[in-house]
Amino acid sequence: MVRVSVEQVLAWDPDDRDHRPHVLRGGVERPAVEAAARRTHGTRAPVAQRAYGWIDFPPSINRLIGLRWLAKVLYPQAFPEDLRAGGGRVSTRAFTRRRVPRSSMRCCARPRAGARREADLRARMKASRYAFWVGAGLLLTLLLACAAFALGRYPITPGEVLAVLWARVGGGEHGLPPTLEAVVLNVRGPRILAALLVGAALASSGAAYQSLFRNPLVSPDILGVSAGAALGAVLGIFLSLDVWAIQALAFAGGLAAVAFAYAVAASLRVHDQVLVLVLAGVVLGSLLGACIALIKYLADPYNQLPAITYWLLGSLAGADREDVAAVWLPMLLGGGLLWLMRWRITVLSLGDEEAAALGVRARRLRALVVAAATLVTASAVSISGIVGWVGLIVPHVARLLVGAEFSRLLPVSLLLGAGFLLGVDTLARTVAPVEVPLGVLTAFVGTPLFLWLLATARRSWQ
Amino acid sequence: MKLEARELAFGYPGHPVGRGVSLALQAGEIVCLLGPNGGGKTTLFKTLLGLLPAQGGEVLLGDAALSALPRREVARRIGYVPQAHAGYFPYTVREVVLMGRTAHLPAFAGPSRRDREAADAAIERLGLAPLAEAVYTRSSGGERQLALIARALAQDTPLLVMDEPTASLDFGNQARVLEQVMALADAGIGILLSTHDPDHAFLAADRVALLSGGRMCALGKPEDVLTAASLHALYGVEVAIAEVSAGRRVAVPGIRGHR
Repeated sequence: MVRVSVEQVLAWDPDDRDHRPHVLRGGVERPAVEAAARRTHGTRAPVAQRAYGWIDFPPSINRLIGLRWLAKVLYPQAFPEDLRAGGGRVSTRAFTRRRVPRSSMRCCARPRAGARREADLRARMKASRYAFWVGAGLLLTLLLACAAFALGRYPITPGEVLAVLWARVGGGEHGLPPTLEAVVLNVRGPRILAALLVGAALASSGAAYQSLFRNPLVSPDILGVSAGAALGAVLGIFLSLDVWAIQALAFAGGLAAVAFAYAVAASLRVHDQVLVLVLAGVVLGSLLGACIALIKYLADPYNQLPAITYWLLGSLAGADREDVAAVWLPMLLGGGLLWLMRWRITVLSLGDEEAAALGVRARRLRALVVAAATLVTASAVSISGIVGWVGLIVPHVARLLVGAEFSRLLPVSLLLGAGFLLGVDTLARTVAPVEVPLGVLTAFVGTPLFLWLLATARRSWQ
Repeated sequence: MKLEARELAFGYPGHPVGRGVSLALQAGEIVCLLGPNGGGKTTLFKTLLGLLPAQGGEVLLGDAALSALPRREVARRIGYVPQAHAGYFPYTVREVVLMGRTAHLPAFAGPSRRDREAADAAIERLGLAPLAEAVYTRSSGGERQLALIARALAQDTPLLVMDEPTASLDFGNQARVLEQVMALADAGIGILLSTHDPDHAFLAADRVALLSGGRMCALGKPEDVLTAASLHALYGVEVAIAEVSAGRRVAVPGIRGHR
């Protein structure tokens, strides 16, 4: 904590400084910008660092206003003026975006060279930001994977993990106990892979759905894929089927639910297909929910009910090699399709009519995207159970980082989703003596994150 | 390239909007469509673009029937400038313009370097270069309209259909957009546009069509079609036509009691 004297607070006059965002961010190294600022704001060059040297940099305007208010409360006689009026003025100056001057957008006029340079610079920055986040996502995921191998009830050091993996890849002996090898290769390895796959799948299909439905608050289960998969799995548990049969039922249930919702929407000859599609999905989801509730009501409360509840909460505790082997191909297929359609998905997010005017067959494309995303999601849900939030929040964060264009959004969503779910799953198996259900933990992590996004970053959906 | 409607009936299934419209758009000419709100201008445009199926009659694009052409082929021949809308996702102006290249891309590819250059050329032409990286959804109405026109330019089509390109623009931007429209027609592009301002038709149009209640009331040269009588019939208000300089006419509404 820094001690601040009354004089320092008094010496600071909010109207005296330049509060334009780029100045607050400290981007005034370029002499031309500084000169321009001096021209428009009088003789005082806005050097933010010096003025706010006693507080964090970049200084938050709210904090400064808050300090002034605090000072007024502590020393009322030193602040006779109405701070309310001044504070409003400061906020306006700090948070109102400056418009580009009208003169710069005259048709056929030669635009200012400086402004164009700025635009080019921002284009380059954007490209490098994308490269940065892809790199960061890869690195983060890799580091998380290493950490996840080493964390858990059975003590294994990172060196031992590497030794086991190296022996596995390159042949040869590692000289470590077989139990350790089994933990690395048969327990943690498949589970880490499953977490990466499920996270990537949910996040990328969520990104596709958000673009498709032109709504940043859509999650991949909007058309009933999770509810359908849940009903399939719950039915399988109720009938005491094998694990693989339960998973197959879940996969089929997910596909069937979406196919049904889509058929309903397509059979209604309405102009706005998107709205009907979402409504059909939501209605179908609640019907499936009722069926699930009925089965839970009928199920054996000692054996089946806990298994059902556990499945519905989502978990990767049972993930093994067979699971990973079963889902990677449909995921790759669906994900590959989404990647191939990446540019058209961007165009489709303008709405059906505009996309059609630009040469895209909107309905057919939407059917393809729904099919691909459903394939991916149903595969994920069939091995993990219902894991919420990943498909909603990760694409959202990705859009904040690299923009809404789908060919950038998809890779970043995929990487962040994989990393996020791996991190949460590692928490799920290490944070408490018993496994915490994954769906519960994603909600605990996701809700505050989402509320924070809602409060701070509007950019993603405006 | 020529866009032609023959005895076209248009509207939505079970909800006819208009019929009996015959209209042709040639390369290099500007056809202005005037009509009161709810007169069916936008619905007619969407039918001419093939976004809505024709309810009767036919639309020809070149020699082929519009309905027989694949979407992509249509999009290579006619560009559409919708009314500037708010948009859903924060694409940059450059990304929005780049989407105009979609019809020229191979099925599963993103835009190539050449497409990016075409988009940048369109941006340059409309003087949007300083705004290229600005977020479209947060730009002003005029900037968004210019971006949509740039997108249609990047689409590189011989014909353009513009739905009220000057609506909701301020005085200066209206003039700028009209200036652009006329420059495009000079460059050989056929433009069909709707407007609410008879003055714009006087200024820019080679031919004017009047649409009211879904029927085409008149089609011809601006000075023949836009008369005090026809505008009174169209909008139901008294209108005076005045000549401000040689050959340059304006329409002035007469407000009752202040004449």
